[in-house]
Amino acid sequence: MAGFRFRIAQALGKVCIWGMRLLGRKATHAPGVVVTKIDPNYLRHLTLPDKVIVVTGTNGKTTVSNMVKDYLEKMGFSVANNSYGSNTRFGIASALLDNSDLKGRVKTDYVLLEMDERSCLWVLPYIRTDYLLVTNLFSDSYSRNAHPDFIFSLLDRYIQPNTKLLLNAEDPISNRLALDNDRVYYSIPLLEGEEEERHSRVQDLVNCPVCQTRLEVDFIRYNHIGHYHCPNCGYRSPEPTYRVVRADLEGQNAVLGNGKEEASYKLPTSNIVDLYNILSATSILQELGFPLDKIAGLSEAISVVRSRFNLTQVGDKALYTTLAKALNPIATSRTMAFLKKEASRKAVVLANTEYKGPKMTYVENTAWLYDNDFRYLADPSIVQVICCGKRSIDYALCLALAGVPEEKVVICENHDEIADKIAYDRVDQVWLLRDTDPDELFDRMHDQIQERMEAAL
Amino acid sequence: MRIEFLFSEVANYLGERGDMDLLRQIFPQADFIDTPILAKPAFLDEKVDLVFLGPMSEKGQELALEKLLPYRDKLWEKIEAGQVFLTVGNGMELFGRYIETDEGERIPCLNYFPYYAKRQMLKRQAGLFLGDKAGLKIVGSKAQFTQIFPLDDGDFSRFCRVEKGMGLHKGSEGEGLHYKNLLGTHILGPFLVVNPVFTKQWLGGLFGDQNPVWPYYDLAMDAYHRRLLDLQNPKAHG
Repeated sequence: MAGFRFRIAQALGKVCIWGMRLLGRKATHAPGVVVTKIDPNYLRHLTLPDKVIVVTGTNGKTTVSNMVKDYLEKMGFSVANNSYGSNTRFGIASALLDNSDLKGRVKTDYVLLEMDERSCLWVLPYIRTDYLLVTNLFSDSYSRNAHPDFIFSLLDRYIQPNTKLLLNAEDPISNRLALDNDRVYYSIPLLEGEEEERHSRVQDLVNCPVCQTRLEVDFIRYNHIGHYHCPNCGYRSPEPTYRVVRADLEGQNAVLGNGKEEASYKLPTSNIVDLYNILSATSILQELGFPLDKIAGLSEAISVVRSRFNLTQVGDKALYTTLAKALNPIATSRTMAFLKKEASRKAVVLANTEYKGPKMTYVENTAWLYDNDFRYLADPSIVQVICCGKRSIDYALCLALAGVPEEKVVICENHDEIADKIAYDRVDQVWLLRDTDPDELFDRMHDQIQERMEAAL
Repeated sequence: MRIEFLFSEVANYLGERGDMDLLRQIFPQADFIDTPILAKPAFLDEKVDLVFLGPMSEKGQELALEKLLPYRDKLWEKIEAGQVFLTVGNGMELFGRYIETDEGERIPCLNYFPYYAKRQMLKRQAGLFLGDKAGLKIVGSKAQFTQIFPLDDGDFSRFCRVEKGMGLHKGSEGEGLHYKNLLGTHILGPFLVVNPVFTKQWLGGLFGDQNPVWPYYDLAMDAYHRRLLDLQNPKAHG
């Protein structure tokens, strides 16, 4: 019976993709809904190639997944991947449907899936996963993801026994997933000259995950990312296989190693978060059998996706657009920490609010704002902080309580008026912090700001 | 004045750090105690003016219960004697009879009030909230795995009446718990920050002699009025 349902699902799913594309739609979600409705075990019934890789985690999964895909394709392999669609089970089903024949055989060399961590219960038991890369687990959308303990327990329950895990040695939450599974760790030890951030606003884990005793810190990079040991039960951060041997973030280069060989790597940005993304992406590639020097040799061809980080130079001034996911206080705080390090005078546009159209009746849960480390924006190099959208007054209140001087803060509800509020004569850089969507809104804001910057030259 | 943040390293989720910060700014002269999960709560043995317990993970909630259950009688004595205690999020569940898990297991709680919490880990209840407390509008959001159900053998006083969103459970007309100076609510926001009128009335009434400061009150009122207006829109959703 399952075979019949599957064949019907596969055929109708293909028709659905064809029809949607005829109408100019991407067909990256709905076809997955159709096939899963017809055959609830659809994912289980597909015939997959030898290597199936799944990437998940709170932050970095899209970037890492895109990087691994870029690498594999640059090396001449075909990859079934959901980068153009959603990372839920429906996006994954759509991507695999699109890359399979009528008999459900996925014909690519690799399957590489970005998986929303909340969706693991609908994906991991159904898809043979050879490698699962978990970037990290942090506090995220409170309405949906609740807290890291919840996501940990879901993943821990649904990771299948034959899956090999690639885990961040500096994340004491995710690196204890599925302890009976085969695993390797990757790590960035404290870099020469690197300043620790021991007082991040959110620290999702401070007690020993085994015995609850307060952990002793070897180093903390940010939030709970660091190396620890427990003075009571002997727990300590694990030893990595893959590591950054040394790195010059300002010079945008690093040396990666695996204990046997080392290779230089050109970094796309000077952000430590991107170094984690690169290290995890190169670790999975090494696990797949590619030599480190070959991977490093391709490094200059790999970039961070435009919607995630983009620089537009306008004369001697710079306009940065960077993703700082709404509802995710860690992603936003890391972005603020990063931009604060730039010595130039800056205007920061906090456009990373939930936006559902100019007449939206949706009332955003603002609790996440109060877990952002807005203290970074009190830095003297930041001349203006512009709060946008329906909850712009909440942003301003949050900034005030965090100690950001009132005279820096501009409240502007209408996104299309933001460009007029920036003091172009007083800043060298404009940082537009955006959410994942809608692209049209953020692209429009970017273009409006760029236009004003050009006019002010 | 002394304020205790109970189990603050695990009871700080869902934005309630904002309320802890606000308390620090309202009472800048106060002595603040951060009590870790392995320590005995200070208010049981010492004079503490205000105890705050924030939202926890389910694991954190069970650890907190493990720590509080041995002091059940002492804690009740304190509450009866008027201890000011604010818990936001799933802390109020500890004061009921039990928590029922997805598997049907009943986790015994402090059993002060006749209600139980039912956890549904794959059915998160999230959305906006608008309530009324004696004519004062209470605003905020909800994000929780539990619903609280009263038991038939008694009653307890709710914190406010529901106008929009979920109360103790779906369809419930009341939200939260208010007994003497114990106040428990699942309303997030952070709760105190987004409800400046209530915060000023409640804390001002209790601790007016402690020279409280109401930081950025005008801005907080602007945000409150704006949110209230949005919530009163019949089409509002969250």
